[in-house]
Amino acid sequence: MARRGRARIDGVHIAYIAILAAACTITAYIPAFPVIGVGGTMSAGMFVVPLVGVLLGPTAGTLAAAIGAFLGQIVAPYGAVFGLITFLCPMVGAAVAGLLAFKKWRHAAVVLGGLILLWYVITSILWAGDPHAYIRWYFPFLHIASFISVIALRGRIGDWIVSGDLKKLPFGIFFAALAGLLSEHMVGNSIYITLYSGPAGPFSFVITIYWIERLLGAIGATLIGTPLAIALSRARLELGPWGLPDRG
Amino acid sequence: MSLVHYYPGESFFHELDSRVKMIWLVCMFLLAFSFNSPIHLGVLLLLTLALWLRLHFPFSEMKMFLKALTMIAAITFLFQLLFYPGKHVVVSCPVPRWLPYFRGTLRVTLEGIVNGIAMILRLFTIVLTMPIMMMATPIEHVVMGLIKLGLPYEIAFAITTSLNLVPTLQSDARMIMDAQKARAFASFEKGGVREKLKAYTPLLVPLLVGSLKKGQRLEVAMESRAFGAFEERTYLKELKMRRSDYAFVALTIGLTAACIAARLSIGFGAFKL
Repeated sequence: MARRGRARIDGVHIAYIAILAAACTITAYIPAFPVIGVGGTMSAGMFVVPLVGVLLGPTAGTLAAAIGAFLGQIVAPYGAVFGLITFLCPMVGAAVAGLLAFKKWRHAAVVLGGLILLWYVITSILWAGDPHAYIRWYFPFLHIASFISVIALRGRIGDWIVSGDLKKLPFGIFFAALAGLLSEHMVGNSIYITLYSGPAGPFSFVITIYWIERLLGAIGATLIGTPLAIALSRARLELGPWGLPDRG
Repeated sequence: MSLVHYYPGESFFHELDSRVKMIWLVCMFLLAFSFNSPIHLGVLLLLTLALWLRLHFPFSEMKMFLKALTMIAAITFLFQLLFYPGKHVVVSCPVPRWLPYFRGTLRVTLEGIVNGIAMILRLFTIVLTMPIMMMATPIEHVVMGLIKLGLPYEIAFAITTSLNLVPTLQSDARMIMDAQKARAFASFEKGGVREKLKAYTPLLVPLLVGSLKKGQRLEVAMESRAFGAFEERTYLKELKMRRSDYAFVALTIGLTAACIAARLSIGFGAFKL
């Protein structure tokens, strides 16, 4: 039976939501890799956000990521370039990763597929007349690949994660994190184009680097998520889909 | 990461109810995104800066924001300058044909320049309004305001708890990094992509496991104090809207609605050439 009560959200105690939200906030300010040509850095938060979804599930994980990002944007809003709605990106990322980890692959496919569709709708409207607009057709190639992998693997991503088997677990975390990071990316791109009238041209350059960045993020999440799953079970912390199998 | 602090004061803005300041923030956000003319966005930014100065917030805080935003602003401007499609060509120069997308000629248009300036002004307005609210409002009032606006208490509790945990986890992360460095583990700073990817495992795994253990203790503490046992909660301090709060809300919403209506009907705040 899943545990319930006013202090729990979807069976997860608020204490864990609060603590992982704080972890999301601080890791967002730990620089990991420089982003070529942009002058910015990828933060360690990129590895942590999908893991929060995997650990706490689609509801509590989404809430933790949203609180973490919201706090980041109010207490250290240096990078909150989308203003009040900056928190939406990691929130969606954690939600998709959580849905996949908790075997709700259909919901995850709907979100990721919907975001890809949204990209085509937004760019068709806002890039009308832009000579570089053709890039919109190729740009989400990795998002489409991830969407296909979610459909093709069906519930297997969740099964691999729940199994706790060290031969399967890393693959499960990788696919869940990649889908989460790409959903987050798609939300960010859509907001950027809508709010900052982002022209099509820069996306011709972004297409050459974003896939490396997102794959590195998913690999990082896998490298951290796998030992984390082992460490959590050794520390007898009942978190993650392997800790609460009845919620699948 | 340096956090935005509350600066106590007795100004009109300080005295406003936190819900009123949230509504002001939302209105500023809506206005910044509804205008795309540099003049209108410039006025909005000037109003923001004037408020910052009026509230006597230290300039060093603003300098930190300006420093953090410079690179983002420069890239945003460059993107608009090089790629924004327009008809009024200001500069046209040949570039090597092997450079993709330019087809041998780089064209900078007036539309690109104006839009680039507008986007920078929008970026600064959006990022600078948020700290104004946070520096003029104690965090407990912000959370209280969110509860009054309908946020469930449990979520508000999670927000305050995690806010209080940020400095603790920050020092934990620093301690783990120092411990790893003391073991001659320098990949955080020096290593290549592969080394850096590996380097984050010994930092983040202990950090997350340690945090979750703290969460476990917090869970026990909360349960032993019967957290959530009562439906109705009472608060030490209650927020109360005053006449001046209502007046400010009416003025802010009215002005924002008028500006948006004018933008949609007569193109007020729209950039035209």
